[in-house]
Amino acid sequence: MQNANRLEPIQLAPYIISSLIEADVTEADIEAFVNDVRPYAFPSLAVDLPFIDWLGSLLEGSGKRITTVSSYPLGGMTTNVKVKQVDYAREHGAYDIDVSMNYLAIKSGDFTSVENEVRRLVDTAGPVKIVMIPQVTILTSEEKARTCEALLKGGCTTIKTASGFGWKTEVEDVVFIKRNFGDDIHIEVSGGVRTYEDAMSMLGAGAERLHTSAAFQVMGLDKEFSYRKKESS
Amino acid sequence: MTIRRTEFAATIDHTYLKIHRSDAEVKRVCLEAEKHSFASVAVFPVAVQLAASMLNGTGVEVCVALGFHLGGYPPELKAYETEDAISKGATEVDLVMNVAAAKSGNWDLVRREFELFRKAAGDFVAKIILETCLLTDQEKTRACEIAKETGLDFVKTSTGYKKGATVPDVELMHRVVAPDLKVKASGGIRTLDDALAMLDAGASRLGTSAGVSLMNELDERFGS
Repeated sequence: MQNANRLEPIQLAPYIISSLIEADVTEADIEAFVNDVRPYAFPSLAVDLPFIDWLGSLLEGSGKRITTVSSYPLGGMTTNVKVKQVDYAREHGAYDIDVSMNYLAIKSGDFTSVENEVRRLVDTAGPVKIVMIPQVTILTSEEKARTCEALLKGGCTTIKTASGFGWKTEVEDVVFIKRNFGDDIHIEVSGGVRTYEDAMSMLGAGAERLHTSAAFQVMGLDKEFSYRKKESS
Repeated sequence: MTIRRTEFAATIDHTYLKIHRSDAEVKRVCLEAEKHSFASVAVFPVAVQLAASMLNGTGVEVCVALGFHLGGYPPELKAYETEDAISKGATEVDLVMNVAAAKSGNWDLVRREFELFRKAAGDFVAKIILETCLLTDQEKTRACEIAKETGLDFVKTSTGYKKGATVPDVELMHRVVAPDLKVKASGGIRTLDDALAMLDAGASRLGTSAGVSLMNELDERFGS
């Protein structure tokens, strides 16, 4: 990103995808979440598949987009199931879909399967953007490079580095991908963006978007999400 | 509590539900399950075909973990996922329920999900995962009642990605569903004492990645 060093904390909003994805999230939580984030310039909000209709109705006229997820966060689902989920997301108005990859195939060196899966998903998504999640945390440098190559061959040009839930992205991961793939791959960072400094280093390294459930903290706002009333384990 | 070695082994769903690291790991888990005659190997859908080919003729079931670990997508997709996994060789299906629906009091959606799951699983073993640590006792009870009414085979406590099984939860679930359905305890079962406590509380199946060390501990305590 250009001129990242000139951004004030509050000016980070356009780079942040604020997300609320957990097993026990309810429609009421999503509504509270939307009310919390509405005043800020987040371009997109991320929720799990069953909530995209509800999010869509809450966001009407706001100009904000809907991000959703597939096979998330563990990447254990088959291509057939991911295709169905992508289909569903497209029909229900998602702008982009973050898809956890087949880590078993990556770790077993089967990059043909990886590429074929990506192609099927991109074909299914049509105008909707497919964002693949290579989960850089668990990959060697060679695996990162080969995964990115397979993504590009399959027609995907945007990655989300990790899925969060404890899988962190390091600045070095962004630097590595940027160095090897330049502008061919757009990088969204997820996992470990908790502060303004985290955000600035990621943007400085070439990330274009930041996924975080701690958006207010990152922007230096003394404000809590109101859905955080209940503590899940 | 004493227990025969073969009986104990037959309660274990030998579980490999980390982000799958390679075919070699899946094969290792299958060989271990065959060696110890565990009830099943539990893997993610991407590993079902490999596990099925490894376990063919061993008597060990191929258990697939669906909806992991958040469980949040529509019932039709879950039914499709169930059929897809069975077509690839799964013989038992563990599905994460829509916890959000339960938390919102949308029990009609929960019922529809269970019904479609039962139908999609056909004659194969259908286990529904409640993720008990997120539910109140009342919600656990209601989910168990619906599982019973829709004819599922097991209610299962946890995905293992949050807090795991507790003795009171297993007792509660067993009280509501027995004898029609069985209870699978999963998550946090690391020692033989953990395992025996769950069986004592009414569990018939244990989901654990510690199966091999549990067998070793059993041998040390009771002799092989």
